[in-house]
Amino acid sequence: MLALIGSASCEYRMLIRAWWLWAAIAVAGIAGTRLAGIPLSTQLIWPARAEVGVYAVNFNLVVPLIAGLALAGRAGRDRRLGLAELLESTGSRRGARLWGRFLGAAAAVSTQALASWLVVLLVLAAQRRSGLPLAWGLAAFAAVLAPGLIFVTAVSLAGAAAATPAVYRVLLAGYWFWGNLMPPRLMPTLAATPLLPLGSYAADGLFARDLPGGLAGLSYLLREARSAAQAGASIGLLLAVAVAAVAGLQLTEARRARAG
Amino acid sequence: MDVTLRGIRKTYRGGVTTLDRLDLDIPPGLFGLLGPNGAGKTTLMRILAGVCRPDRGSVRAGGWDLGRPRELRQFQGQLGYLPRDLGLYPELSGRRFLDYAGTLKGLSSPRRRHRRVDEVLHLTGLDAVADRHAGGYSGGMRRRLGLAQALLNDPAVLLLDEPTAGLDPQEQTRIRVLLASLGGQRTVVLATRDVTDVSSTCGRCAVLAGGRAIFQGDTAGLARAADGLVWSVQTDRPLSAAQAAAVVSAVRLPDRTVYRVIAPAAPLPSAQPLRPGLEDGYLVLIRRHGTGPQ
Repeated sequence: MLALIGSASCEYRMLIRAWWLWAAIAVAGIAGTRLAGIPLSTQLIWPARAEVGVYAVNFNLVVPLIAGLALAGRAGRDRRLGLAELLESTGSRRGARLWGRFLGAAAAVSTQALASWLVVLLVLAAQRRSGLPLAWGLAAFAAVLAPGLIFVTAVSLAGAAAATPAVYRVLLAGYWFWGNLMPPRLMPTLAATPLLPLGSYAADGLFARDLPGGLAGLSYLLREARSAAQAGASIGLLLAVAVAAVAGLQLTEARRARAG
Repeated sequence: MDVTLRGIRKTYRGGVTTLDRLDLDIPPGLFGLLGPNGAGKTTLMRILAGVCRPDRGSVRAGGWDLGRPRELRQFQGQLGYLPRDLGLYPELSGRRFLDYAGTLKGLSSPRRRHRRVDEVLHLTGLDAVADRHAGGYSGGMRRRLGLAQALLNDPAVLLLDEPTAGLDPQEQTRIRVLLASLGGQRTVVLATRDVTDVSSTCGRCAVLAGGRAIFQGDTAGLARAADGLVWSVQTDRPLSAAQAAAVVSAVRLPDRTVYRVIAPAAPLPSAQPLRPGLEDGYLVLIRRHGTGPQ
């Protein structure tokens, strides 16, 4: 447990100091919300919950992609830096260090996304002269933004260990646009499934239910209206895939260590 | 803690055998592990640290059989290891890096860990730069930080792989003085190509060549391997090719050159016998084994 906490804390500390990641996430998130392009007059007559849901999906358009690109290669970093042997010789468990790294990385990118998201929420609260967007916004962060970030963190740690970080980054970018942003009516895409780190399942099912047709009637990210149960299933699936990715990476690392 | 290796064999992918039926007994105190490039020193250190498994043979440290994962983990709790190519997280300060290493070594109490971090920083002379990012450290500071992390858990066994490699003479001396203070009841294994590291710190040593120990014993015994074989030759004429091949060092003076030569008989009638040093003994063994410069 100590190794897990130590690794998580170390990884968090290193990533949280990456100013460029703060900047990239802020620019991507805030630019995404501007793409919503919803007139203020329309948006103020929506319930605050629905408004926050729409903004959350737009904030999430490329933020997890940015996080994934930045985190690709973190799992192999100890080896590249020449630290792997030293860490291995400490007697701490490899799995604990790996899970710690995953938790620390997920916490760091979530902190950076949360900070920018809070700026968006403060603007929405000021427009409404109400604290409701802040309250709903924090819930939306937990349900819409965080699962996507956790999913991408795990997949980036594992994926970049399987391919090279550069190849993985190209694949991730391709997947992101095809599997999240490509409207399902254009071609078969994962965007039609609950495995959607963009978060529109959760936003639609938990936040935009009060709108006729949910997000489908409002956003260019055409989706059918989702239920709360479907939203929960999407969140659960994202987290399950994240856990499976890290567990798979743990197995791969163990095999590699045995072979070495 | 006594460390015993029996019949160790390690072949890497590609069929390169780096250790071949190696038997070695390492007693408590400072123990030097000498050998040319490719002799198997680093592989041996990696096996002792538990980061690499031998294909054959057994390693015992104290009462632990390092071939058993549980016992290896217990041993690693008593181990400090400085790898040859140690990297650092450039964005972490030396102090933060040591704190992280401390958690991995099981120093659970934050207060105790912070106190120990301060102690090893002081011991390695890094107090003044402890809060600077490690990315800005010089080579010497990085090696000292590596040494500091190895000492964090006050280990019973300390493995140091080339601790002075690539450092300037002042840093080398600083590290050797530090190493000399680390012996006592602790077992310190110092793997190096630099005979001076061993001569200035270790009482006992082994010489590896071709994956085997071609010598193990006290350092005086290693020097004795060159008894009657070391000569001083002063001449103003060039040496023959055979004589030149036996030269260990040469000092050019205005009117002549003074050579230190290892040869079974006096290379010139004017040659004077010299008392052999550790380096002479090492070179005699390596040349005899045929793995060193001929």
